[in-house]
Amino acid sequence: MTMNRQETEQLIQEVLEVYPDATGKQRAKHLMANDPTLEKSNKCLVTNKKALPGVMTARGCAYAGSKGVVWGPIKDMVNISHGPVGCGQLSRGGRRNYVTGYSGINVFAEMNFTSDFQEKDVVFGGDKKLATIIDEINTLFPLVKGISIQSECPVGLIGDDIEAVAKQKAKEIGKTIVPARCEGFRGVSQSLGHHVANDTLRDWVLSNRDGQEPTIESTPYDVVLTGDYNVGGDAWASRVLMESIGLRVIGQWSGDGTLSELELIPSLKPKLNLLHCYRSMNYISRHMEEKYGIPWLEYNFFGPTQIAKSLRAIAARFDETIQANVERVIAENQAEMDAIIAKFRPRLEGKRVMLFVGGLRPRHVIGAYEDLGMEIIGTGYEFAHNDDYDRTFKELQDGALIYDDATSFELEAFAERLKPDLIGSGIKEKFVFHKMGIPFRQLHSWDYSGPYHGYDGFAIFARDMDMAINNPCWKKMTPPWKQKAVGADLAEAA
Amino acid sequence: MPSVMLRNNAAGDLVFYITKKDQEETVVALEHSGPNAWGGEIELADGSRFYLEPFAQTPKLPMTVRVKRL
Amino acid sequence: MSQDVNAIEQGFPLFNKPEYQDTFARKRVFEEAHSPEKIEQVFQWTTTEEYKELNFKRQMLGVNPNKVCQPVGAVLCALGFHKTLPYVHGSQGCVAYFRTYFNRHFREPIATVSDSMTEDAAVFGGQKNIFEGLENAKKMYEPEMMAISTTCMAEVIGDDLNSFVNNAKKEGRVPVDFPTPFANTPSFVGSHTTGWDNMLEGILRYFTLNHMEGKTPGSNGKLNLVLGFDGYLGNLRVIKRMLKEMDVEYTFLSDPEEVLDTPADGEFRMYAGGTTQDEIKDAPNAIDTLLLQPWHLIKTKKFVQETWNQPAASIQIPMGLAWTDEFLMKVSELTGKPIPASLEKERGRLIDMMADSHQWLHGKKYSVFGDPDSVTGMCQVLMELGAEPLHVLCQNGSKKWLKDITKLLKSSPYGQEAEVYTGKDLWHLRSLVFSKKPDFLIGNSYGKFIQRDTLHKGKEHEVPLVRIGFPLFDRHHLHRDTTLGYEGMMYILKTLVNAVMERMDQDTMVMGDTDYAFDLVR
Ligand code: SF4
Ligand code: SF4
Repeated sequence: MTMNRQETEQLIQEVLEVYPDATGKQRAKHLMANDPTLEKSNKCLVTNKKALPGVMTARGCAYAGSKGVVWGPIKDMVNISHGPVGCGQLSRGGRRNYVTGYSGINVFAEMNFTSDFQEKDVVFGGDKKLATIIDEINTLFPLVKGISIQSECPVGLIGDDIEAVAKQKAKEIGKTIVPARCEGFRGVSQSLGHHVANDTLRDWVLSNRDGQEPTIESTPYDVVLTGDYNVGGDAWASRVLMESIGLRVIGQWSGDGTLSELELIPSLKPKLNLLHCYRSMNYISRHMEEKYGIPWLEYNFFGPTQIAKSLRAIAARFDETIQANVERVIAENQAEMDAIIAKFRPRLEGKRVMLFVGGLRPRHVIGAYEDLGMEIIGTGYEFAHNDDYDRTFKELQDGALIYDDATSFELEAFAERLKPDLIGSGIKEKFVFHKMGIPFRQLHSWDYSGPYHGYDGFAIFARDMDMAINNPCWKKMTPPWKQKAVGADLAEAA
Repeated sequence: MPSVMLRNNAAGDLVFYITKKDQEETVVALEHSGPNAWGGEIELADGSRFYLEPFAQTPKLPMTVRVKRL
Repeated sequence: MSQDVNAIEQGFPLFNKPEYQDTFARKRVFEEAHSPEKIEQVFQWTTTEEYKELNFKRQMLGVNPNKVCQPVGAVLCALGFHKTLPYVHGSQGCVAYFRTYFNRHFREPIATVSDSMTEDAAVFGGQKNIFEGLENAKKMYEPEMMAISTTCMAEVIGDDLNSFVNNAKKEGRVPVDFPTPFANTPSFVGSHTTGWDNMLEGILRYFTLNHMEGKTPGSNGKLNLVLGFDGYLGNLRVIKRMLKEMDVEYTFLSDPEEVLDTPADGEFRMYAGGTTQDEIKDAPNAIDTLLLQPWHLIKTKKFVQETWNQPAASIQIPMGLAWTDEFLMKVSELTGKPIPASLEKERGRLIDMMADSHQWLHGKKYSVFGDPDSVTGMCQVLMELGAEPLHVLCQNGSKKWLKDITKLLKSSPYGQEAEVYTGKDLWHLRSLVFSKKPDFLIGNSYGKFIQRDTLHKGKEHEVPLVRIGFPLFDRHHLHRDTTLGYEGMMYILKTLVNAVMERMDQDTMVMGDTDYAFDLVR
């Protein structure tokens, strides 16, 4: 059952009825039926507004955007969760940002460093504590390249001066120290945390080696991968693909990233900045373009169709060698992709999918599903802005449901009515839909699988969607003694 | 006086990016587009209009500038 | 690329293929990575006594803590009440994390709302958020109670919960008689266990403090039970079963057994089971309230004693043989019901298992970490098995606890070697096991990194982790098991002895080398 725009609008109205009037009016502005001809979303959709109190939003906070998304995966730095113990502990290890290295020795991404605020820190301030902590890190983890300070709620409320501490201590220990004002009450979601983190990259890292002689020679084929957090190894799958077409990847931001890879960028002046997650890293990309003349290009490595399209768009920015390489690589992988599609498409054809994810996946994965013959009937973002929806309309079929910052109630109601064959969303949603008997994949953590990027990733993606939808468990929800006898429906109807 | 970034997008259009609002709009009309003057009145795809003190030459983009809302 | 359609490989082992290993090598140039020799040298240094001393000199830095913040406990407690929606006053990010944390451990949906306080609330206070939050949540999710706790944001700005909630009711946002118990749960005080205790006390207070007239301890003939912060569904079930076998009527104050274990049958139940409001109101009429994890149910105990005038009889966590005996005898004493033959038989079966397995456990050394009550219980279990606690680490243990457990350990020949630590984290524990190696580590999933690190020093240094605790993220369904009662000790014994066997097999299956001892019978 694919709905047209009118039917979708109707459904939205029905679901809105449960809300108190004022709340319903607000929520109505975040829901719509897709119109692929629209260029701009600002006339029909309100985004990036405060989540309403009490509605059970899926959103996180600025700290999650800064420490969790942007800074956390930088592996050779220690990211201090500065404040009480909870935030750092609750977010430890949840995102599956893969790194290589020796944990606790030269990489620290998997660990949790906390200033574990006590009452006296809240009353008297935490700056002294922070200074001591930086020294202790430097003593116990001598190979650490730098330190970031990720502020939790109390820090901004008690008037600490973490910038001053950062400057002072950086001088003393001779390492990069980055203060991030990403307190959870700032902004309306993770999104502000991305922005804050980008600004700190700009102000405290990127220009650190300006004026120094480059230590590595640049080549005409240098690129940097930005906004790939290496969830389950995604950035690596993308990286090998970039390399296979003859490009040299000089840096990954920030999945499996290092401080050096950030600091080397201005001197290496890569030809192109390949931007994966626009939402979380567009700010620094714009800055690098303006300050260092490094242009950026958004790309999509989900599914063979989008991969080919993106590879060609990338190649167009380089010479014939790269363009020829791209055609060769696409051709070489064709057989493997054909085999994947031949195997899985018949098992997935026509299946209807609802998505609700974070930064870019609500639009980026659509092509991969379509390569498998599946159909997206609804999509939405937890914390997108209008520029994200601008980029979504044309990817999505006419009449599909769009929900911005959907509440738990809305998602359940929509799923109940649309009866999708698969839902792709997060851990908070997963088990609700398991109970309802709807196959589900986590699309933040890849449900402990991945990578899903690149050709290697698409094979895994196809396999995973198949196992989610076609596992025998979904058909067993009703005990046999409660199942209607075959033909009973017909008999009743007659 | 909002701070905006002017840049050319992949399609070659001039794009107006309002930093504070994370909002991107295509420029549909630019009063002076060089070579001796660049700037003046700017009209965006959504109909809003701004004024940019004209430059003597065509500037190198991208560039962050202050503009006046008209 | 390199996928075979009939054998598609994910991250591991995919990334061990040469094409990925090569790209990692190319990447290292831009990482300006330290040399492998340097890294190895520093690793070895972190396993030394010298490093341990430095590590223990740490004053301020927390590395890999083993505790979380108060509202986490408050949410778990609130989930245990009938049709109750946990409501957290403060920033929404925390709540997203709380839900996720429990989702991952229980593999269940967790319904909890926040009132999404942002910068303006930081300036003007969160009253408006409470108004809208209560109204929206009530209308949308139709709870019969909302149990309110706080994040640090609300605590730091000093919101007056009680008056905000009352004002919301005056404004008609929710009916005046709609139950809204609350607890202040500042994260910079105590830990998740404190938050659980605070929330329960808040709920009991809300329903009974001003309604004590006509309440008499013992008048309803029941027992109240309080489990406290715990990650095992089996623990609720085993206590209930034992009481049923004793024919004792009971009320669990906070009982999330159902809501954390709803079936997959096509219907999503946001609420299921749980302690009802009537049961809470009737609780002061019970014979007594037994606190199963007394080390962290401090406020609850005070309330029960001072307001309900119940003794809150002093018991140990019913973990292991003797303390389960004591628990049953206490129940029998309080209710006058005899301990039935069925439980005696169960006890006998446990002893039988202990006899069967003792030779594999006697003298084995264990490092244990976790919350005060469960760690105490685990030490007791180990010593009853003839096994020896070596390190006992409890980050959120109090001074009093430290004294008490030290006494317990000293009282047994098997506890003589044990070293007890409070206020220390898992990076301290890493140093401890490098300097004095136990046979096994017992604790939650975070312990896996210690196992990895010790293995890197060499197989002979490896300290395998036995996963008993909270949270358990990297194994499935262990939260269904039981650590309390005779049944709980059976589970622990089985887990421990088979961990020994696993290890024996690993060590002795080297063909032509150690496999003379690769026994079929053990
Ligand atoms: S901000 Fe406070 S309440 Fe929230 S997760 Fe962090 S420590 Fe816990
Ligand atoms: S794609 Fe999603 S999960 Fe990934 S960083 Fe962007 S926002 Fe987050």
